[in-house]
Amino acid sequence: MTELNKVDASATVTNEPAKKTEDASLWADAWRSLRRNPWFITSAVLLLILITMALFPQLFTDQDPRHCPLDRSRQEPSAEHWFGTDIQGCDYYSRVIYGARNSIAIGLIVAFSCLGIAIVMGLVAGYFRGWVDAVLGRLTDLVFAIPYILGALVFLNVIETRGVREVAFVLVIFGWPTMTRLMRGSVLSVTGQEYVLAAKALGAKNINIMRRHILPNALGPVVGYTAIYTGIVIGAEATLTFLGVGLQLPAISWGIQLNQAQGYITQLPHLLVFPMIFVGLTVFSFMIMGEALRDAIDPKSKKR
Amino acid sequence: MNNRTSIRTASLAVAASAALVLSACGGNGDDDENGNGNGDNGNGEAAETGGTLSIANTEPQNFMPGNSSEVGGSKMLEQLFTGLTGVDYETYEVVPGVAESWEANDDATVWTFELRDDWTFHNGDEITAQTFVDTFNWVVDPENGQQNADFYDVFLGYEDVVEGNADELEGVTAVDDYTLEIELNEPFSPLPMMLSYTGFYPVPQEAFDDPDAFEQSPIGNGEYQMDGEWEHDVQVAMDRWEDWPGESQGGPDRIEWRLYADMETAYLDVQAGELDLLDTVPAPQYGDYEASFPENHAIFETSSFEYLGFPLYQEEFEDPDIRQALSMAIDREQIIESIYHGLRTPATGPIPPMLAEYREDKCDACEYDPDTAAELYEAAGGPSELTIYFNSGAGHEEWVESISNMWQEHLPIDDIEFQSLEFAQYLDLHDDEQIDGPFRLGWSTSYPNAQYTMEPIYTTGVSSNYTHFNNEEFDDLIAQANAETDEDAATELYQQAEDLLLEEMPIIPLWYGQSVMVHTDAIDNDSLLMDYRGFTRVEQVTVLED
Repeated sequence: MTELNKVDASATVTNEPAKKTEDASLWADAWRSLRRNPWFITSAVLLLILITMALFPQLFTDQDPRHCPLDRSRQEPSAEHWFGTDIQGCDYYSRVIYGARNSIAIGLIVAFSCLGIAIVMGLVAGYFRGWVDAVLGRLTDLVFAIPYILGALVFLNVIETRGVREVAFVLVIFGWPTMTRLMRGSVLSVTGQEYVLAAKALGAKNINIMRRHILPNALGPVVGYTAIYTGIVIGAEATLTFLGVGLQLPAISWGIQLNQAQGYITQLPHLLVFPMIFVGLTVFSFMIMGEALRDAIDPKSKKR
Repeated sequence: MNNRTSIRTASLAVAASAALVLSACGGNGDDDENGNGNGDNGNGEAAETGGTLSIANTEPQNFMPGNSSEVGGSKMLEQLFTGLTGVDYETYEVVPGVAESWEANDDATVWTFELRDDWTFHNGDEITAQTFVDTFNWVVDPENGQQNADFYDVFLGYEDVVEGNADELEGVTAVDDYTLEIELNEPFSPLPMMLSYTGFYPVPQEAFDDPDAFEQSPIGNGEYQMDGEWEHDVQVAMDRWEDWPGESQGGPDRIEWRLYADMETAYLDVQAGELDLLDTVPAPQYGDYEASFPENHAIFETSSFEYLGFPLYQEEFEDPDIRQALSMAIDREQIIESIYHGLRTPATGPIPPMLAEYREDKCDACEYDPDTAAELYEAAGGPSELTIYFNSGAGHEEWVESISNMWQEHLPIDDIEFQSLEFAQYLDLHDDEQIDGPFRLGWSTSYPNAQYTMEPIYTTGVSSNYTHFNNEEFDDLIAQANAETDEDAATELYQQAEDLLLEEMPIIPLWYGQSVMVHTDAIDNDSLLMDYRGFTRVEQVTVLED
């Protein structure tokens, strides 16, 4: 893949020398390499479908996932009900489709909230260093020391009514340190660059240096990780819900479907298989997308 | 009075084992040879004994008769102890235990029990009337914090002891070594039946000296005695006590109660031949046991009674029409078939099928009739949003979801939320009157009497009356029935009380329980019987091989 990138880059240089603007080049460069990356294309298509599913589930099914006549419960997959029906007699295909919304919503909310926290804290810590860095660093270590699934388990267990907001909130609380560390490291490496020193020497304000010079150049690794992290969070949400401390009925979610299916593994395996495939696909897509982004943006991983 | 609560508490919390009362109705259990319990005291030339039975159970909360309020401990204590009276598992009549006979005065307020003179504890200590006096006083003494104390509330002097004004129950006296007299606050004809309950077993002096040590290896007077100590979360082993004065029904020489946290594991262990008997197959295996144990299973109807109660203290549930409409919109048969594989019995009231007072067609509002329900609900202006409360982790989600789907489909209800809580939290919410929607509870019969199915839950002001049902006519009927010494007359009064409940509908009756047992080839299927509390009569199980 690296070879491919090289060829691509050199081709660009010769063919389109007119394009410039200094900070656009990093992103434009990334984009050029991304659209040649088959993994990126695959994950982008999958994500497009999954996100459409989350936003407009009715495009994929005309069945009402909440119409559950008990007399058709436990049916095997058939032409009428592609994924069969669940214990309550609901059409399982539409349940699984509608389940995308909560999972993806939690994934994106948590990943972007963490990204926000990471950007602010990472910038401040990496730029000012000294005692600010020490305080923020120890705080990060403190939270980082708690395994986030364990922390989320304990916290969610005491929250009685758990919706998307509550679950997302708890996952953010325990999820931000990794990204913050990454951001800080990236900021540190940029802060030492000559152009930053030059800006400082010219008397630019800290806030401007951070915004104009450091942020765009330090963002790369974190952006890729955000996509990967979205996948991790979706997996975590499904895990927590499966364990009974995540989303609750009557919400429709993959985790709940897996939880309810666990007692029927031997008798009704399709109840377990379909939501599992969807969780797997979603996590996979976000992870692959993240890898591709990181490959494209992160200069360090590019060197490899 | 919190303690009756906990009885129910624990038994419910243990998912499927919540099932209680018996009624030998399943595939078997009518084996005459193994018939009635402590019935006649003839010479016990019993059926073949022998072998070791391993049976699944749950870790007991505690292991002291006066404090045992859940199924796991009570099942085992029942083998270690014999009470004043016992119950015949087929006719549900009181039979002698340590007491060989008893009589009451005319208004059933003073009872005299004649004790046999040949009973001792496993350690050789003699059992006399004084043993019972000491035991009863110790259980009721608030300092000892025994959960079963409130079963004694009909005993004269109970209030004084509980409030600290007296050390001993005024109503309990040893007239001589083998004559026990019990005087009550009020007429109560079910007394001999009630005395068969766990909370009334006699305990030796050692129990009072060091209750904690005693609990690790209780010394009783039952057919089996402890072998070693209670190995927490592992097992409790007991051996046949050869000197037991009662009549043995045969059965195993040794019983090993394996303590499981999860009955699904036990189910797999029976399949693997590691465990002989599991008497409460968990609901998710209901679809599997027939295939996995084509011969080696048995089904018993129990009379654990599951219901949805209403917080009558909330304005929106004040109108009985609303409560009846909600009941009529539930298709019990369909839920039982789809969710429980047919392993429940639609309920028609708090009195379960095993009792003589049971009637099948007494509850009109228990019939599924969605059209009438919708009309009634609309006319009465029922709420369009509801929250259903239930305790978590006990497998209630599925049927609650089904009921919620039915209500939303048939009634003008737009939105239903679920609140599932740990049982302790759940009860706290009840105590604080924080419940604002239908709530799930169950009731298991500690002794087979219609009084126990209603009085502790629906009479005004009792601690387990979570609906806050308050009806003078009902209270009067129960009091009259309790005082009635003529059985038929009492039956009629209890039935009238039940009719009144069904009319007012402070609770929606849902279903009575059923239990599925599975076992290995080592067990004789015909010898299996589950009693009214949902306890397998292990003392009469025939072990074919080891």
